[in-house]
Amino acid sequence: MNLEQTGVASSEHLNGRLPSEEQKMRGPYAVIECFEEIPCNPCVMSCAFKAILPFADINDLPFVDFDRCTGCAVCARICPGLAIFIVDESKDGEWGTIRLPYEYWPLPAEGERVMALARDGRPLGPAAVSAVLAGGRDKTPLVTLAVKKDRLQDVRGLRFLTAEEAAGRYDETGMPLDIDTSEEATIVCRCEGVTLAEIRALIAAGHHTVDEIKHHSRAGMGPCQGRTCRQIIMSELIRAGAADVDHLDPGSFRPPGGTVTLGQLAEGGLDETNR
Amino acid sequence: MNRIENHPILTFPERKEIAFRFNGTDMIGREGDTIAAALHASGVKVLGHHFKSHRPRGFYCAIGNCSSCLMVVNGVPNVRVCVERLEEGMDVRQQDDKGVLP
Repeated sequence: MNLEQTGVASSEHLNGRLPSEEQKMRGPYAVIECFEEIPCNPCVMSCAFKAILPFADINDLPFVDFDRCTGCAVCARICPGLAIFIVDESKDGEWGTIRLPYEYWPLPAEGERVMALARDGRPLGPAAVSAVLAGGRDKTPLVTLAVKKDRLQDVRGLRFLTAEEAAGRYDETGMPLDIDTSEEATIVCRCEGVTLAEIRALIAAGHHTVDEIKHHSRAGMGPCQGRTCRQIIMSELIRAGAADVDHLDPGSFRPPGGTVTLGQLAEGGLDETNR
Repeated sequence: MNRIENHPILTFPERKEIAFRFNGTDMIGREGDTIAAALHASGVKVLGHHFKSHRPRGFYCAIGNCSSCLMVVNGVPNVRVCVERLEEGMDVRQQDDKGVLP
């Protein structure tokens, strides 16, 4: 899957954005994960070392001159997209640090264990907070995590540990063990209370269109008119191989397209008397 | 109260208090709140129960899309409280059925 479809960068997108092995040993450096051409240049303007290559056009993408970058983190705090990370793998041993922009409250405390997250939000395991920088003119706080060097280009976020995680009660994906994720407990149509198990059973029984599943289960016939479940049912049809994504029929849409009361229909508009 | 009061980037101006009733209990929201936001801030996490399964329903989409937050407001059933602005003296009641028109 590419960046345009998922919004999640991967290691191939970092080509040309990481320093050489020799430059990595000199000290901390900025990794800029900015891939969309937008009119934005605070990083270039804020760098006192002119380490971010000058733009010919304000829509240009930023690239770092790692011979000039000192890892001072001024750009990381000013970037409105929180797209800049400061990596330090210059110390001997198997551990490095990554400084992550983090705009939530409360901030973690130094020494606290938090969950390190990948670019797609996937938990990568607990990590220790070694420093927190907050306040100042550019308000964005930076949280420093101690991370093994081979994961420094994977960790791009953090969150607090859940009670289950703090107690070690979570699986390898970070999902707490005492949450019921079974098909029977997963609701697809919230209005009519139709579960994923019912939808999958109907697909297995040969109902291969959204309308057939709607007629059998009532999924999509409640007050929201399928705005939550329709896409989930379509993705289930594709996942089961029961429908082809290029010729997928989303089922019938009938007016009114939005939620209105009978009073609004009768009066021909929305006002204080008929809502 | 479950309101964000501190934030590293944002600041929150003081807003006027608005009194309303939920299931007959007096509650306080803030000017500009939706009904659901005022309930959430007051610690109400169960907004209703499904009419068939009777399972509890919480704050879900928050944009008027799903049907998790339908309530009876001033006697009118099936009001999506996540997109309905809180007003002084509103009578908000939990709805555990399909609703009966006034």
